Amino acid sequence: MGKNKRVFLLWAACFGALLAVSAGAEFSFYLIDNFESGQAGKWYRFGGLETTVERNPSSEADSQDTIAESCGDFALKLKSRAAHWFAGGIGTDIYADASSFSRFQMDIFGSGAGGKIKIEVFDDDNDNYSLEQDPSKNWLATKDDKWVAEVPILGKGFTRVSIPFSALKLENPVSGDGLWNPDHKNGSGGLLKVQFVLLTDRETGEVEAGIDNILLTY
Amino acid sequence: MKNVSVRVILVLLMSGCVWGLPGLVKPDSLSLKAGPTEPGEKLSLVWVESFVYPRAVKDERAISLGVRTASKVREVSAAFDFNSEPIKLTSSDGLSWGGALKLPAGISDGVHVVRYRIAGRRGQIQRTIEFFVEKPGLTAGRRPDSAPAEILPNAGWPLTIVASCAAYSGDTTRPLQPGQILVSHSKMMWYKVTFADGKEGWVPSSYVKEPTEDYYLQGYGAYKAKDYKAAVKFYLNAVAVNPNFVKGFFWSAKSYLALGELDLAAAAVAQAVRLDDRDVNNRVLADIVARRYYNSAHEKMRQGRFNEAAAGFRKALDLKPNSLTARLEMGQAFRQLGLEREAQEAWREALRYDPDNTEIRGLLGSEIITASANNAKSGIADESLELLKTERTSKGTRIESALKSVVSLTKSLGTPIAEKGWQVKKQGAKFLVSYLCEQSGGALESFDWLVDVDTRQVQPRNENARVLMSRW
Repeated sequence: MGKNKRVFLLWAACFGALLAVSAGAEFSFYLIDNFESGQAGKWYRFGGLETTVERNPSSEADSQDTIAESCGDFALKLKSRAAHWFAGGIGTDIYADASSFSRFQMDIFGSGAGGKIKIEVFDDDNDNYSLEQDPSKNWLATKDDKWVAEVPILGKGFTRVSIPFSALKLENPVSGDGLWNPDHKNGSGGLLKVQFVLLTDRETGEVEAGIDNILLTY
Repeated sequence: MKNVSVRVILVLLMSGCVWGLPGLVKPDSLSLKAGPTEPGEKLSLVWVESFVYPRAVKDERAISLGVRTASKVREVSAAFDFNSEPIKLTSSDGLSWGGALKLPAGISDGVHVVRYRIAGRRGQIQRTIEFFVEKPGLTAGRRPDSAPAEILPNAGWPLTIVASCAAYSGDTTRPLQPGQILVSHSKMMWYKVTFADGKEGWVPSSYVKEPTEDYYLQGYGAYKAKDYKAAVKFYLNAVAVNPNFVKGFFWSAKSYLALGELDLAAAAVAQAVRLDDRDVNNRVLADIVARRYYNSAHEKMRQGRFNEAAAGFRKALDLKPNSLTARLEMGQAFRQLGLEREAQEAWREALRYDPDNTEIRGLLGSEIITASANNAKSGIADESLELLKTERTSKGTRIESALKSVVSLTKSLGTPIAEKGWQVKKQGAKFLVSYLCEQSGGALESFDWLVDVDTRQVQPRNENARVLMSRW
């Protein structure tokens, strides 16, 4: 191999590495979804919740609402009829090493109907990239930790919520190790998935909300 | 054309091969600014992450530029303090923007800044990131026979059997006697070796004496004979055999120092200190190397070469973190460069070592920035001033025009007043821009605004400025 070619290959490797750094790195935030693709195929639904990706109305007007503006062109609309305060939910698999992040952040659009969103996140404790659940016990996570937080749906308009991981409560003690450890050590799947459950203020009735800019930050 | 295509493909292939690298990037090896945009910025983004990698650019002079946003943006470009011609970053999704760049020859060592301009549908914002360019060491051009802690190629070291044992060679075992010499290839729990008859096999590493001390003594002989290059070679062999051999790192540092290779000496002595931080000799040598860095940086500071000085102080502090003078002067170098956030960090860190130091406490307050020829610093200060002058009051008057009008009105009412002009001070991460006037009796009146060049925010800071902004 000629000297010039070797020098070039070294440069190519060097630049390749640098391009990879610039293109693939996630240093300060992990974007779960901002729905700007106009699709929500990565989200599964349960409990009769209807979802549609809808255009964010404030993106077209000359809005002074900076939170609404940062929501871009699309947001995910959630709509359902509640039974016993439960109005269904959505979730997505993540499998991320979230150990370098410290907060969960999202923008919630309230329609004025009130209600709450219960945020549920699961960290892998039996190191198998899988969430074991017991269907006979209301889908209890049996081998991994389930951490939850509830946030009110304010409205009308977008509200930004930023929840420190330290504020999450363990909902299934003794199932996993009871420690917040969403990392990839020892073959762990880290943060396995996130779910949002819609809850209403009244036992029955319709509820409607929107979500956007779902991310992990430091 | 064909060659160019081949090269582009190769670059892309190799970039694909190393796609897993980001996970290996240490957070402290890149320069990063991240967070949501602030109210008043022309774009509202839930999160913006801007970075330069590596933070300290060495021999390869290649850097990675990157901006990631949580919402799509239209265009991202980067401009440097040494070349304002913007470079466009590329993206396939409008969220992750990147590019790799070879820095041009001839740019000075020390601190530099890159300014990203992020354009969206409603306007653009900017983020300013610093990075360091370091002087090439022996690793470029004048590479020695081996790098620190690198095993010499094709040079397995000799091993002496210390007790009767068996070696494995293919499907058979071979008895070995004390004193028998073998040539090593690799070391794990077992050594892969070559026997005297040329055949290869494996022997337990607990049954052999490694030549660490032999290399060390040979190195010492070469050092005494002032053959420092040879000494380096022997000491590097010693630490290649035993990466925990403190004396090997210590004496290789001394040899590098004698050769005038300060960076290599620093790396070696830093490793010695890491391995044994209670060894007085290691600490003394680290102090000596730190002092060399400090003296050089201090001289550059005196010459006004602030970016090189800042980098030098940083190296001195890597070896001697409790050096108050180095931290003080590093902060001053940063301030001269207009990098106030870094200056404040340096002084705050200094306060940890000497909480009662009044000089540091004074520096941590606001301080008038004097004129400087440095491009990076004066550029940001000037930009703050220009931004303020062109900002408009609530009635749509340019601030500069409004001030002239106020002064004229005051003079027309018979009040003697002398205009002292503009002053730009650093205050936290922002600039305090003031217009000063002196009344009879020497009383100073000022109109103060706080300006952030990144977010383009201009906020009145005193009553004079507030009245001007609301009524003129």
